[in-house]
Amino acid sequence: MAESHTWQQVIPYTDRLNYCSSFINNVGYCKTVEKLLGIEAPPRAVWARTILSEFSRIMDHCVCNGSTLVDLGALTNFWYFFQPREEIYGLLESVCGSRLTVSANRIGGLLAELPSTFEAHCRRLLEFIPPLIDDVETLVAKNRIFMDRSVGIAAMSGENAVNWGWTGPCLRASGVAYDVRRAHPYDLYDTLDWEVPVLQGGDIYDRFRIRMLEIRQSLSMIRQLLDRGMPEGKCIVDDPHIALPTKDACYNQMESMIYHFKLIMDGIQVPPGERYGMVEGANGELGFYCISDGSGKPYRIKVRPPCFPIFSSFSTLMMGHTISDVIATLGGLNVIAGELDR
Amino acid sequence: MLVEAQPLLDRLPKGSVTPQEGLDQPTWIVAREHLLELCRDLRDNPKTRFDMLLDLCGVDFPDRSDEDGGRFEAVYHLYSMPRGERLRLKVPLTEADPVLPSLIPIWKAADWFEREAWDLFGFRFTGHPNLRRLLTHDGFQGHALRKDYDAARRWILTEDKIYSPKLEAPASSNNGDSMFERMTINIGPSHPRSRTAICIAASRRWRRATPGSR
Amino acid sequence: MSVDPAALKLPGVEHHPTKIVPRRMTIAERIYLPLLSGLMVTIRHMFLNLLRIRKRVTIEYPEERREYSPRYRGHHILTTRPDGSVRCVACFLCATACPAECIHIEAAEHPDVNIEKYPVVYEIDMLRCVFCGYCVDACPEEAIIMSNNYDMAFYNRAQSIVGKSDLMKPFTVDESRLGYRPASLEEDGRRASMRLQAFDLVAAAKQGAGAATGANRPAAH
Repeated sequence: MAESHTWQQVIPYTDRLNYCSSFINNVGYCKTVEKLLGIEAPPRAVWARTILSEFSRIMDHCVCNGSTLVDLGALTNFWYFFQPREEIYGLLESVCGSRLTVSANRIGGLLAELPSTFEAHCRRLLEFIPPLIDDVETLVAKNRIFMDRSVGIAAMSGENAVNWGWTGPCLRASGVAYDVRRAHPYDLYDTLDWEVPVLQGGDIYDRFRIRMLEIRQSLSMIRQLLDRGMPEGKCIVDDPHIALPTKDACYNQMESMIYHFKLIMDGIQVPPGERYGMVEGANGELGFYCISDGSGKPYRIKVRPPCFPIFSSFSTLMMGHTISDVIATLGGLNVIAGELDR
Repeated sequence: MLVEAQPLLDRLPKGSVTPQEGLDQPTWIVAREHLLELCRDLRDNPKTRFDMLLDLCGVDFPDRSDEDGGRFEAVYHLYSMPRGERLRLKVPLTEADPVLPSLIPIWKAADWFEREAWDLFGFRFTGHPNLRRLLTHDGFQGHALRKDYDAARRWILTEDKIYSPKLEAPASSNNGDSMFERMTINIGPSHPRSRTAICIAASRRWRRATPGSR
Repeated sequence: MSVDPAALKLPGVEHHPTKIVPRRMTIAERIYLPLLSGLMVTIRHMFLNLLRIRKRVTIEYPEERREYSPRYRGHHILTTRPDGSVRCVACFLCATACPAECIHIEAAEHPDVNIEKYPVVYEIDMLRCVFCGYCVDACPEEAIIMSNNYDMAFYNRAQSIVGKSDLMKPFTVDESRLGYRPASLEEDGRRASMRLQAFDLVAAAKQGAGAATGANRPAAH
């Protein structure tokens, strides 16, 4: 499907991969194409991408943990988790107009300038979210009922997990400290003070706990970025062969109108080449292998979904467990069908 | 070219591995006869330690002749976690004979990636225990990501074509009168994340589940 | 019961942990003591919801609605010129830009040589539309914008294909009902007020001119 559309038109498709954290999918794809083009997004766009990626990660972990708990019967936490999600939706909506499938990135930056309310909105969220996360932890983290259902269940050792191709929180819960943001830093992750949480149990409980720890790390990263302040400049690269000109330029200048027309009709002309770009999605390493033949449409895009190898190991993982364990594990593995099936 | 991998390459016949320069990560074009051996060495050798198969995909170049390598290419992305190194392996395949060895004995992650490559490109992996369609349904015909496949074509899935896994009673039994029963339990779209129904066929022995999914 | 890692041991890879170390329960956890603090959390939420009704997180939809930003990507609007005719010049940029291929346009010649073309048919298939806003980004005439309206239920599939007249139906001159568009009032007051004036002129023209002059306008709809 991507092969019949232009590079820019693929972005709404990438939204629908991991639809719980669609911003991160957009970032991964746009960064891969930007590398193929040999450009970099401007500092303000990179700053906003990092913040919104971390908010999307928080959203995704909220869904994962919330639905794990729902499957185990703890419905209250689902509501407590979905409130941060609702508020982050409000932030994403103020940036791009859409809540779930955002298409907020363009190749070269963001779709539009950030709204003037952006920083204040982010800070309000940083006040709002931690108490709800604390509430869920109080309810569940030391709860024997939850622990009996989840400790030691569906445990995967680190070595096996690596051989099965696991990445992301599921792998880190099995004791392997691999995080793309730390191993192959991109955006601003190497300039921030944060830790990669790792646990040793490899079971449902540790997969739950690791996501809670990651939410806290994400909140800390966002706070650091906000304290740093928004960089100056535009939110998209200033190259008329890549980014659509501003509407003012388009309406008033012939040259900009021509660039605008060519970008829409022919698409961005990406030089021939191939690249495997990866980001740390909420589930693990989200890879995009893009091959360009020099035209405005991709020749081949292969998405490496993080939950694909995780789910492929599911049958082996569940051997010998009860049916109710199957339900509980499915939640913790965070299998998102949009990404799985593409 | 990875300097550390040179001893591995020296063991293989000349010309079976050709490096491709100028790409974002080291890329080797590997002849399929030596793929299994090379991958095993890449994983086990302490100097290289490619312990993770990240991705396997197919690419279709319909204009490429057999002399240039053939129509298809299977592309493997490997990652070495202890060393943080990446490697891309490309295996050229001809249209008439897109067969290559399965890498499941080396990386269990290859299982579903190979099924996907079979489904979408028609690559046949020798030694794969369960090579059947994965992303398209059982009534689908053709290989969807080939460039000559008509994307508008629709295939209907009829009930007789639906695959049913053959689950056998587990051989080991420490309980002489254990009961084996086959039940299909739909763990369906109630999950916010599993919008499509993830159908897990479970065989029950006593109260333990032995799932075979998809 | 978990999978025995020894049964799956791989040769030569000692780097990754092979042992699984599950969390051990403390004595307090074994006697269900932390459940009391959990109970206090839910009781606290219950009393807060009962006592601070205005701060409840739920809203009484459909009487109460959420407020969305000026960038919300809702139902499309085809904007009009001061004389009431559609601003669109049928350049097909929106149809080309659309990733879902949901815009269908048929062009015809416009009597005014400065305008050249206009769409005789302009249909958007709302069931295919993904509300990405690419059409708004692509339009060089600001002829298509989006509103913040998301109420789009249909009774049958035929109603999902929205034609020109439905897209042009004046939602309102009220900026608060508009969504994703090239210039909102906060961003570019000059252009936004130009658009407002255009709407005002439409309303004035309709009041003054009436149906009698409708036949004299070949392209006005």
